[in-house]
Amino acid sequence: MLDVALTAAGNVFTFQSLLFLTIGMLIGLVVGVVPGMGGTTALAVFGPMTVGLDPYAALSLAGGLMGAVSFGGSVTSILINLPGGAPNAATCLDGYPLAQQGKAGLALGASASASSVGGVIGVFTLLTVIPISKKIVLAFGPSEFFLLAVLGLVTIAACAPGKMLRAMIVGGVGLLFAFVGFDNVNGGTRFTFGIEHLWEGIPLAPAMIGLFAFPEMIELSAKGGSIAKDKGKVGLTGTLDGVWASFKYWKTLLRGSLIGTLVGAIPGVGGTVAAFLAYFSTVQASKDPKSFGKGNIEGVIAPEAANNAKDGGNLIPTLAFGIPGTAEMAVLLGVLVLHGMEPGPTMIMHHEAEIYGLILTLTLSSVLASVIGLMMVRPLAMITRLDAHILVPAVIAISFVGAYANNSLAGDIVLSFVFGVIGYLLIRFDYPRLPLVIALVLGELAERSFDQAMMISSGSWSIFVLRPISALLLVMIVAALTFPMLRTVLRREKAVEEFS
Amino acid sequence: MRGMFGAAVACLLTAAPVMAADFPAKNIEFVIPVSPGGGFDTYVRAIAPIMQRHLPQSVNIVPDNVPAAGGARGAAQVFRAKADGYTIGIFNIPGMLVPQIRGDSGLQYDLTKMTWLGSLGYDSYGIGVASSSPYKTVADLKALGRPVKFTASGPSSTAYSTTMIATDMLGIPREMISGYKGSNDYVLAVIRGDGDAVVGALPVMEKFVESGELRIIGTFDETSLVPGAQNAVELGHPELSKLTLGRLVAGPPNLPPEIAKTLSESLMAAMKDRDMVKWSKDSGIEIEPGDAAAAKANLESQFNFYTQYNKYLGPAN
Amino acid sequence: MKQASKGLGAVLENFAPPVVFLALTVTFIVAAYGYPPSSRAVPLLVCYTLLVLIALDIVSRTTTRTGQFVRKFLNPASSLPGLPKSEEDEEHPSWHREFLAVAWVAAFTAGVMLVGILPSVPVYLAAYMIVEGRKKPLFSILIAAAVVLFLWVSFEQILSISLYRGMLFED
Repeated sequence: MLDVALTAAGNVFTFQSLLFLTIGMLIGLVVGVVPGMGGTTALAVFGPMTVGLDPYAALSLAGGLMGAVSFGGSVTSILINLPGGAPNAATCLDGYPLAQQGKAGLALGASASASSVGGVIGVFTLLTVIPISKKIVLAFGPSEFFLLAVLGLVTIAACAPGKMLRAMIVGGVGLLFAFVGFDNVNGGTRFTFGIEHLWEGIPLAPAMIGLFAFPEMIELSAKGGSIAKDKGKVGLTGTLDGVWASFKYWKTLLRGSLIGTLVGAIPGVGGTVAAFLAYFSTVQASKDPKSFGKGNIEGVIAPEAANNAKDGGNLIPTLAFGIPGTAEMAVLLGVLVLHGMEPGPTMIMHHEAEIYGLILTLTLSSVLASVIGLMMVRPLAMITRLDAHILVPAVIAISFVGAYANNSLAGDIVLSFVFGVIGYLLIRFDYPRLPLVIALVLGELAERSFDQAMMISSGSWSIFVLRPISALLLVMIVAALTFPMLRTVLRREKAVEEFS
Repeated sequence: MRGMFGAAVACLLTAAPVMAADFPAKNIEFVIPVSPGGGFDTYVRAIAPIMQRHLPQSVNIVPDNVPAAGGARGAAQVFRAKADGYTIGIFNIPGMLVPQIRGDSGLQYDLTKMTWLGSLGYDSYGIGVASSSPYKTVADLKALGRPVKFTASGPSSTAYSTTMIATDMLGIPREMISGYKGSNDYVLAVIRGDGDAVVGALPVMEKFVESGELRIIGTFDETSLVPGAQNAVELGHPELSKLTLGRLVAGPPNLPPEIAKTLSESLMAAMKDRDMVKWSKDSGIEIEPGDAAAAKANLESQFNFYTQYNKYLGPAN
Repeated sequence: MKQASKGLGAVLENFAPPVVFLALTVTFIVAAYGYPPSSRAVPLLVCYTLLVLIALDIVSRTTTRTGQFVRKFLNPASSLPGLPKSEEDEEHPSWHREFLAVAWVAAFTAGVMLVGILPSVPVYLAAYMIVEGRKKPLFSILIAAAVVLFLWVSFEQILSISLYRGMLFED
């Protein structure tokens, strides 16, 4: 294995590869920042341009791009409460409140270091796991996917501390939205109410842009001022503190990274569930759960580590069997095929050196992108000081374009607007929005896996208990549901005791 | 006035062959009706740069992904494009034929009217089981005494209808486990044990055989020789060979014959080009060049076949 | 002070959200029964669960003892109009300002749908900054031009993604 790794390193540390790595990183950072655009579109556009060049150029470009996109997405999550992609949504929870308190630098710094470390840990885990990667992919079937999706949905309840009932209602509505469109298991379209645009379902990117970009902007527009409530307090010296914060809270960092890698390996759900699970478990493990959602730096570290670690995890099913868990992975596979690597179970067998090359560039990018990002914290944090009347129309305009650019469908613009109104109404009446996003992401997988599991077991529910991993997931779900409530009850009793 | 009119008419009359001789004068759009990264996407991206080298004038062939509606949007785009040779597309046959035969509402294309330019090859199907399973022949499956569980993608997909038609032809009682996303996924499912057997495209299954995880017990080709597997003739059903997945290239209806000829000849030359052959070998993706006439014949034969087997195609959307 | 804190306004504001959710859920239930059993099973399960949750939400907004009980266990931090607010919560802007904010976005959306992205963006940006922000016209136009230039370069040129031309101009 060592000689293959050395071959790979030899090919990566060439001028051409490093050049493409840098190009990929810069593209990834910029694309990540634009709402709605992610690694998928960027890779789809730039990947094919590498045709004719040697494979390591393409791999360096891809690795550079993928490693940097997550951090780009984190920037908007923190600064304007707009997730760059679904996995970045958890970063908004504490990242944006920090920005509002004028501590954008702190949040961005922590995000940068957590992302790097998370990315490195994710890749390292991937390397150790490659030999058994096939067993891992085979161990997760429809029954496991269903329970995993449920676990993800259950963390909805924990997203909004103190608003569990409303979170669950919004989550339920999100599930209904997820059911709109073509039913992959049974055929036929559902709940489209005659609107042709909804045939393929409600697309995630425009919905998310609408839900997150517009409400904040509308609120800012109505209130005036700027994002940072007290302009004088926008502290940029906080950046270095932020960077060190990840290491200070190393347990959170480690927890986030491990969850990111492990859960990120599950095709389809990986990134989003990983980030939220990391956030959720950090809240539960903390001595002061109530401080989350208001600007607790650990609430930034955990999901940031997770959503970079997931890049390593995402590669597992992609490389082992050619099963892309996400659209980004599908495009990556396409680029690999373009360079003569055949996707499927034989890819690792025939192209070990190239695969290691990809992993190496991913690692480098994870770290370097954060460094570049850190250099840009000053101008980025200044966005929180911008007057609303300049910021609002600019953000809305760029967001709309991002929503359209995903699929080049005009209907997505209208959809974004509709979700924008929905999002504003939700925050106006004090309902959390994140559950809607999580449900929209997981709903299809949950239903499809459930139906498939039932077909496999010929209708018997025992499948969820008899398979070992499923049983484990069931236990985790029950724990996730009861633990927070138990904790609240126990603390209340303790408080009562203290006062009597 | 009359002079100008006459001049204009003269221009128009001579313009048609002049246009053909000057073709192509600008970039050609190659529509791909799936998202980037999908199997068909890669074919086009691999062949486009090579095909443009074989055109009489040097222009770019620009791949354009038009996903959505399972490919119907891309197909409609090509169908409705101007018949000037600057828009062509790749089509999954029978995948994109099925919605038309089934009668899906709102479909804006008719594949029987397209100008067929050539084909990149056809995949044959076969039946596979996990290598850890005890089944060695199709007869073993029939002898199970209960419906055999087959994994496939959704009810509107080619894999699904192919599985249903094949199992009925072979007399295997079956139960479908559907909804998997993609061929690697539903073949993997049978290896995992979600189902007993799978009907899949041979190139996909052969990779899993190479890695030791799958065993092919039957092929639907009349002449193929896969060790341990009976082919369609040996299975007693040569008509199984009609179940294929073709990659056909076409332009809009009523394409001027000169322009169609230019396009299909450059496509053919590209497929035989040394670079293409090398790529095909490296990536394990086979290209069997087929000309315009062959493509048209295949489309018509598939159209008749699936019209006959209409009831297997799932409910109309 | 919140003018909706009294009387009918308060009642409406209090119960409107769950009622809207209820209407949505019922719409889905009715639609679901139009599909075959295998297609509607899971959606119906979600719908019925939602009905229970919405009922709890409605109860939690009343001032009955059950309501207080539900509030204590499931929604301790939620705000209710009419109840004393904690200091952290901020005043909502007036209806008038909210409506105006939404109207600007709606107008922009309409513009994009009609004439496309590239014309609408600078018009929206400049107009908003001048009218709502009372910024100097020259400054506004410059910023508007900068943003649309950025969009044009990055999307049309670099990414080769053609930006929507609007219903009036698309073929």
